[in-house]
Amino acid sequence: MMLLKSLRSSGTSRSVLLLRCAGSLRNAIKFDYDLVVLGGGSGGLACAKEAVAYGARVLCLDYVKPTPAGTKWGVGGTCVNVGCIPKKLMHQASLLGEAVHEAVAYGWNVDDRDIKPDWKKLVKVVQNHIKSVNWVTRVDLRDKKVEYVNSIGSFVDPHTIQYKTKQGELKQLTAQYVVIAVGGRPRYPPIKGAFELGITSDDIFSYEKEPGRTLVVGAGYVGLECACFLKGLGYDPTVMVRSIVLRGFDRQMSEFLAAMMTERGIRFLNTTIPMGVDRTPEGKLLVQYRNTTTQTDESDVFDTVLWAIGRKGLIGDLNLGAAGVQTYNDKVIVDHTEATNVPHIFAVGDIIYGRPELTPVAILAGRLLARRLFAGSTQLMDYTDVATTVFTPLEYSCVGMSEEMAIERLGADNIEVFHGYYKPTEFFIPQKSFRHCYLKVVAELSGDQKILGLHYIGPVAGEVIQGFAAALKSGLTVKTLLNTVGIHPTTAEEFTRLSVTKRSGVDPTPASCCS
Amino acid sequence: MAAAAKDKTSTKKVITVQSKDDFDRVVAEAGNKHVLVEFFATWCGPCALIGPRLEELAQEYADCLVIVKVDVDDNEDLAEEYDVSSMPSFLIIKNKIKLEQFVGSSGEKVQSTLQKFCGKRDEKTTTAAGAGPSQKPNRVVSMIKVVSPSKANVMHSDKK
Repeated sequence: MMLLKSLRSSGTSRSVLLLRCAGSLRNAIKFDYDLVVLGGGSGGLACAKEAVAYGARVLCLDYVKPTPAGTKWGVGGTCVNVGCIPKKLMHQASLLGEAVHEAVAYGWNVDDRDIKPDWKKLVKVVQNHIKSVNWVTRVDLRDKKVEYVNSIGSFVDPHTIQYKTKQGELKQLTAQYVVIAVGGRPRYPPIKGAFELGITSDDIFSYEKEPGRTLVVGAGYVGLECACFLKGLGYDPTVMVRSIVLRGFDRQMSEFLAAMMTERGIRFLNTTIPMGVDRTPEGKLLVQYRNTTTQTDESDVFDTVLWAIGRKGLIGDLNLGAAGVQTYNDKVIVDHTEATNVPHIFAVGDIIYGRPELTPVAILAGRLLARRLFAGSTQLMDYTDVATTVFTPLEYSCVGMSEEMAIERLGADNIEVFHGYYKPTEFFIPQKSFRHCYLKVVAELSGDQKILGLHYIGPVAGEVIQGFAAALKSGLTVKTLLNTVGIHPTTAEEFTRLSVTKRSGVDPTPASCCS
Repeated sequence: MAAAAKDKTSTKKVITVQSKDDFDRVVAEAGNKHVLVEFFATWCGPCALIGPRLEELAQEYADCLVIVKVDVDDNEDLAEEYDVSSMPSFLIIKNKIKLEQFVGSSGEKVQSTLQKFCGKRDEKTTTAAGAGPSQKPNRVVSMIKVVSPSKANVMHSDKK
């Protein structure tokens, strides 16, 4: 009868109520839960909370195994605890340090010589915020009547999950549907000292020591973002790049971003791989590494070594073999409905193979899946044209195709690339470098020129591109874009002012603003 | 007297409970006294602000109530039982019955609630000597009351 009450309170229509009631009664006899979600992160929680709104009985299991350095965290997943949220806060902290210097140029009588960050205070306030989010997450689960257990769930058979309680008791339960949303964790390189002496993004946001001279191994967005906020906070980061920066992103924009970082004094060790880490007598870290181009071996001493070489899916604890779920490269294979090869077992978020590993992707996919399972919806997740941002001090945000993808799919003769450098008004007074303030639009050549991709390096890139992501999804054309009146003075308006094409060979550097 | 004043920290009156059993025991031991419960979190800014005020109030209202703190991260069961979603949340319990519940770190609200149940207390004693020293005798009197119950009645009558 509690079931009827929860169905009524979710506001569903009478006929749906009856259908759900009948279905759930059938399941109540067969299964302990309508849905068990393995993983309480962005995807898992979104799916669980959406499902209860349609009357499903849901259990969510979440557990965080401590890092080799001993770090652990509460419910909410990677984004809340060791990803997007703390990253953005530290990015903001580093930008504010820059702003103090700019303030002097604008007339503030601030003494900006020798300003220092209080790392311990920064970590404390960031962690306090994270804990408040953990709390709100738990209250939300409680209010929405999602059962939550802090333990690792694993398969006994396709419909049975088991977990160990805090008291060590083994419990089993059955589920009509299971959604695997366990996400991933950072990889460690298979070299000496990796686990014992290196840390990862799992540790940096609660690191009790000042990072100091840091080696960031890896040039994906995690590595670049970490190196940038460490630099902005006054520490001394070096980025070790195995081959290229930001694999998978537009090549030209990625190289611009690396050049921007170099201009800011971040050292890059290109085509270099780490060979081993040892502790020095002074307690620092000696890293041996090899330049694969010159085939020379070198070493250097750092205070901190941060591995940012990629993430692996957490299939290891799930005992997927007992359910017969197929995996590939430690990720779960799913079809366009997020179904695994076992019809009633699904997966969302970072754990699935071949999809963007982003919080909003996991959240939307999780919600749509819950609606298909419990509300009769047929809407599938659209993984194309997902906008994303790299939060370096000049940020890079993009949506749609990279230039090389457009060339590959349509041919260079069938596309037009509009591009331009620009100079943000606010940069002049503090004489901030705008050398890498650049944007481009990749579009079809013919007709109204449907836009295939937008790319932007500059301040608040995520804020700039978000609206364009919706426009792109609506079929934005160059004709419409250039007939859109810009908001002045902003950097986003530069998209409406584009006029120079790559094909023309004209210098895309502007003379001054407003012309 | 001065030594007793410095000793103040060793007779902190606000009790931080460790578990539901601990909480139930403290509530039972309060007898007929009111219990002011504060649900807090270590990461909650407003909770940190009101913390010192609670200790002061515990001293002032010691004859009428017991003040208890519950860390919501350590005591999720209690937080759930009292449907606590934001901090600080306050309860007034007497004889195991919840009389009132409110949210927010307003010192005035807490004080006015205590006055409602316990009556007014003078915060400052007025003496010819001035505001500063006049506060201390009040506190020292409360502490002596705790430390030497046999002298309490004598002190109490002097306090007029």
